[in-house]
Amino acid sequence: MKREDETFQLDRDVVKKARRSSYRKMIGMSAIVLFVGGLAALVLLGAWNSWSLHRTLVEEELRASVYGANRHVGTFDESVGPVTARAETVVYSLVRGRPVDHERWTTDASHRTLLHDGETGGRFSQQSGRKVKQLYVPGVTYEVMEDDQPKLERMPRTTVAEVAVSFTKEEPVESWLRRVPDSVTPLWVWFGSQGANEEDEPVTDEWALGMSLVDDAGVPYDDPVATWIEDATRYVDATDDAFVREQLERVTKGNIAVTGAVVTGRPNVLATWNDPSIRTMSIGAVIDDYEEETT
Amino acid sequence: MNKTLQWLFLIILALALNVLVVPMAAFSLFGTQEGTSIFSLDYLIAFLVWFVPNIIVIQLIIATKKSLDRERFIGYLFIGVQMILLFTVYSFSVPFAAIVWIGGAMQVIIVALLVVTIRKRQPQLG
Repeated sequence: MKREDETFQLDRDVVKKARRSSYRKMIGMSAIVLFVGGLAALVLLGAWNSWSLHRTLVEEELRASVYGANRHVGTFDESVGPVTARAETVVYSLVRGRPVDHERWTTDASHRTLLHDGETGGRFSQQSGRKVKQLYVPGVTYEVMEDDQPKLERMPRTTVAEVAVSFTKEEPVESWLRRVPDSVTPLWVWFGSQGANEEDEPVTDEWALGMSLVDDAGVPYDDPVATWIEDATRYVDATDDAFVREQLERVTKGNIAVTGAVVTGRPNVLATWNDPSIRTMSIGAVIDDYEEETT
Repeated sequence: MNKTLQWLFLIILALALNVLVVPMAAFSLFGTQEGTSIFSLDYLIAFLVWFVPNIIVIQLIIATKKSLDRERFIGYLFIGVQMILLFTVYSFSVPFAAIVWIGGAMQVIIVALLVVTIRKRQPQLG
């Protein structure tokens, strides 16, 4: 091989080597950029998922503070990842401060309770088997109107029943609360229903709009009206629910008329409770309670 | 590698790094009272939490500007390792002492790399 050819071959080898090294570095750098960018994207996706999950949960908490007859939402158990974010909790009723009639709530499931008609009357949640409380709008004639008050007479006295009471007409909340017997505990009052006149169906406890008189732990609020106004204002701002807005305006003006309530008490006391305002009673949760009466 | 692509890569890396660093710096201000002066110790700590992991970005800017391929590649590697560490801190509960020791040791090496990059001359063609 001539000297010029040898030099040319050497130059070609050097160029080849340099090019190979350059390619290797380029691939390496691109891989690092992809890796680092991917990690950042994972973090951003996780942050986005977390943010949108919290928005859903805040909305659900606010919804539960205006809708639901003595139905409370527990603490959320959250799991957030870059791909999915979910949360679950339990919805429960409070009877004598005890959480009962649990129903699982998750962000990735339908929240409408499917109802099942019982053989001896009443409607039950297909999901949990709990008896669903039903409320009847005053002035509306129903084809079938179930009244559980006679059933209360047959219940043992060592139990405490949760009962949804429907009124014959709208009543100012204060005058009605004054007439509630001492041994009966009012927990929630009903503000009425939207569109109930159109369908001949009672309002179920999860969709009834009203004001809770106790917090999620069962402790009575110092000022339930102010608490409700605060929650309803935030709920209306977040969802623009026209019916809640209408009720909010009414309650803010001081017109707190109610069309029903949820109370708890001994069955014998509830069975003999005679008040002209009561149209029907619908039993919800019933618990054993052997505590001796102090009165 | 094309110079424009080099700057583009650098911007992506800097942004990706700050996706993790900025929330951490913000989190360090969590307990700070409203109305605290910007020249307080709290803000200094937050600035350091943001600045120290960003030293590698300064090194990469200089290496890219001077076309120092070797230093740039090492800088990329360090930013990758730093991201793994930050991601671990961000996603899992890691003992504070481990963060300080591992992160501190790495920052010492990064500062040394920065000094080398500053002192090295730009390669001349021809």
